[in-house]
Amino acid sequence: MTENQPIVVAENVCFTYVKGQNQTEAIRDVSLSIRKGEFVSFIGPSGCGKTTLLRLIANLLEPTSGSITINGKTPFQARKENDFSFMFQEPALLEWRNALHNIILPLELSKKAAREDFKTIAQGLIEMVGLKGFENHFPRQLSGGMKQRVSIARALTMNPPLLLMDEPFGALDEITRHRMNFELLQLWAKTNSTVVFITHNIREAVLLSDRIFVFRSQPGRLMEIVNIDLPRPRTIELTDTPEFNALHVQGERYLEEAIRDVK
Amino acid sequence: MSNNSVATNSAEIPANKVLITGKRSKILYPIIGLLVILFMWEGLIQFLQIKTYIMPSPSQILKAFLDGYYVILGKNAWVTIVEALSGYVIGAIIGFLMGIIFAQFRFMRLAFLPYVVAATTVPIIAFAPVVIIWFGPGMLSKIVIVAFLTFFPVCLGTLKGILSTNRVLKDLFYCYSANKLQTFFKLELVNALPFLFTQLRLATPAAVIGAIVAEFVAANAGLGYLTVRNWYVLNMPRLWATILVACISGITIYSVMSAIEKLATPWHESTEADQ
Repeated sequence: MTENQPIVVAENVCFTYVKGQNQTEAIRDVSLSIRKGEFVSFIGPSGCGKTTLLRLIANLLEPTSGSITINGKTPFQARKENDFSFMFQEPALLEWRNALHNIILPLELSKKAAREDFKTIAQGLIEMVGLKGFENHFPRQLSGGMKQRVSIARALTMNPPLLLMDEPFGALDEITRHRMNFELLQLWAKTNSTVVFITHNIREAVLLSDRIFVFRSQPGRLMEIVNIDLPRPRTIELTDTPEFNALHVQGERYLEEAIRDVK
Repeated sequence: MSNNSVATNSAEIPANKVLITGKRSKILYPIIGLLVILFMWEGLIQFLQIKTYIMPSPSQILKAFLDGYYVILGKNAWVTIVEALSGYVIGAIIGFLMGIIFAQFRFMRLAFLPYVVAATTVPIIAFAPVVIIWFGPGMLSKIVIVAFLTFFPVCLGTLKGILSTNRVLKDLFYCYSANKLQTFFKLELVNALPFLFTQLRLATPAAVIGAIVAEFVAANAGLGYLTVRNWYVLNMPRLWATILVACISGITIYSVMSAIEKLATPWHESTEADQ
C-alpha cells in the first residue's frame, strides 16, 4: 500500500556555494525520488555533491533553485516535526554525557516524550544496538565502533521515518565497518525507516542498498541509478555469489566512468 | 652484578621495584624532598656563616614565627586572602558574563575585544596607584585590582570555550530543531566549562600576587603591608615567614580550584591526564 509512495522527492535541485566572490556549483539539476521503506545509497567521487544533497534534504542548506519535499513537507517543516535523523561521519557525541544520556538528547530537545519515559526508551535502544552494560560509559571510554552504535541508537530515538547517514562508518576500520553493516541491516529490518546512506565503498553500497544513486562531479549531477535486486536478508554468503560480484563490478565501472569524466 | 648479594631471603625484588608507588608515594616523596631542601638550606647558612639580614636559616624563620609573630601574620594573611578571594569571585563573575556577551554578539567582539586583549598587558604595578587614588588605601582598592586581573583571562576563556563548539554538534542540535536557549545551555555553555575552569585555575596565583602588590603601594594591613614593614626594619626572619605564608596561601587557593575543576568537568581529558 504505502510501499511505492515516495518519501523524498527532489525536483531540479541546484545548489551553488557562494563565498565572497567565489561561486562553486555543487549540484546541477538533480531530480530523484526515494520510496518509503527503501534503503538507498549515494555514491560518487569526491566533490560530486552527494553530501551537499543530503544536507539539502536535512535543511542544513537551502537549494539555490528547485525543490525538495519529505512526506510532502518542506525540509524545514520536516525538521521541525522530527521526520528525520542525521548521522554524521563522526559519532558527534557529547563527551560530558554518558551513553544513555547521549541517546536521551533528542527526547530532551523535542520534549515529545514524558521525562519519566526517557530512560526506558533509551534503555531499549541501548539493548537494540548491543551496548547493554555500557549505559554509564562516557564517549572517551568507548571504542570507535561503540561510539557509532550510540550514535545510531540516538538517531533511532525519535523513531524517525527517514534516516540520513553521511558516511557513518567511514572512519571505522575495515573489520568493524563490516560488522556494523550487518548490524545496520538488522536494525533497519526492525524499523520501517527509509535510509539514505552515503558511502565511498561500492561493496558496502551493494550489500546494503535497494538502489544505488551514482553521482558525477563538477558540477554534481546524478549519473546512473543501479537496482540491487538481491534477496533479503542479506548475508555474508550472499557477498560470495556471482550476482553480488556482477553488481559490484558494475558499480565499479560506473564509478570509474564518473571519475574519468572529471579529467 | 652485585645486586644479588643484597638479597638472600627477600631475593628476586629488582632494585627499581623498591620504590613505594601509589597514593602514599605522592605524599611521602615530596616530604622527603622538602626535608632535604631544608637541611641543605640550614647547613649552608651555618657552614658559610651567612648573616641573618642577608638570608635567615629555616630554624631562625621558625623561631620568629613561633615567637608571637604568627598572630600578626594570621590577621594580615586573612586580610590578603579576603581581598584576593573577593576580587577573584567578582572578577570571575563579570568576566564570565562578559565572555557570554562577546560570544553572542559579533558586533561586541569586533568593537571591544581588541581593547580587552590590550588591557591584559596593562602592568598592574603601574595601574595600582591610580586605583588607590580612586578607592582609597583600604581593602576595596585591592579587591578592584584583583577583580581587574581575574576578569580578562576568565572573559577570554569563556569566549573561546563557547566559540570553539564543534560545528558538527551544532548541526546535530539544528537537525533536532533545538532552540537557541537549548543550544546555549546544553551545548555551548557545557563545551566552554573546561576552558573556563582552566582559566579560573590559572588566574588564582595572579589574584594573590595582585592583592600583595597592591598592598605594597599603599595599605594598612595585609601580607604586602607586612612585607614592606619587615623590609624597612630589616627583620629578615619575619620577612621570610611572611613570604612563606604568602606562598602557602597561593598554593592552597590554587589546589582548591584544581579540585573544583576536576569535580566540575570530570569528562575533560586534562582532568585525567595529570593524576
